[in-house]
Amino acid sequence: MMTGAQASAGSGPTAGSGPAIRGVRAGTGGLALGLATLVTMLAGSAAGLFLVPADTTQGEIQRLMYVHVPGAWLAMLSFFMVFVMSILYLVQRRPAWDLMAASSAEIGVLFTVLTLALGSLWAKPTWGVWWTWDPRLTTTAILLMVYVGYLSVRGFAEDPEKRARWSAVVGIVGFVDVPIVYLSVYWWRSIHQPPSSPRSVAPVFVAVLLLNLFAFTLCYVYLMIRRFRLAVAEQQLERVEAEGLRTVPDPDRRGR
Amino acid sequence: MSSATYLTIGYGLTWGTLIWYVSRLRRRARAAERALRARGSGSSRESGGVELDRE
Repeated sequence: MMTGAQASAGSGPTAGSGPAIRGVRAGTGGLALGLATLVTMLAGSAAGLFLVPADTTQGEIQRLMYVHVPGAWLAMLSFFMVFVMSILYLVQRRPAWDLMAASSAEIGVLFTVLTLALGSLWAKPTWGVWWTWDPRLTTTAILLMVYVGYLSVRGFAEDPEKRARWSAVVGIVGFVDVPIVYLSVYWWRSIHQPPSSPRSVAPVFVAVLLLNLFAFTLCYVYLMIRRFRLAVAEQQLERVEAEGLRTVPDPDRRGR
Repeated sequence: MSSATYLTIGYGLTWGTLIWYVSRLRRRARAAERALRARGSGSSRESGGVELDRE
């Protein structure tokens, strides 16, 4: 997944230098990956909507699981990657790790919002409410706040090194909530059900869920590559603009 | 609301979010590319490794 990015991270020799990448926009490989993601996601959605039989207990509404669970998986994967890349940044001080962590955090936030919205849609017909302060929902909402905070921290610090250091700390500390979200359904048995065992459901349900999990993982890889390339370009632009400002002569000193 | 409505909103929201986010990334990439070109940083040497795709 991260082979190109890891190679790039390894090629960024100093703090402030951008990793070598081919382009801001997707090349042939990027287009192929985008196409593969699109096809897999379309197949996953079609299978979830039309191939799988309706659930005997919940009926048709259970089909929301094929986007809700993979959405949650993608969000957790994103935050795990933020955690790993933040550690790597603090150890190696390579800016590429910081940019990857920031890219992953943005994707994670997006998919946490989507997961909460889809969960809310599923909750209304099954629980009778759009939202309840169930431990799983509450810890997920806290998770969202933590990573919105992570992105806000990045907006506060102008110095790229300080920004990277602060957000790496938030990225590591904030990850503490991820296992809590996962284990909340076991610790506090509340209204949100724990994951079903694959052995207790028909194989077709498991197969379609796995297809969607794979599709969303592929989607994460695609979005990460695009977002990381953009982050590198924007950082480059920021540096070029800063250098431009430094080279502009001070009008007060001109002519003295 | 019927189950079909919930499913339409749910799957629509998922696909809508994805399409919106990808197009936002594309738009920002184009803007960054234009800005870098305008500042004469379109080559890998000048831009510290960011090569821009030629149109």
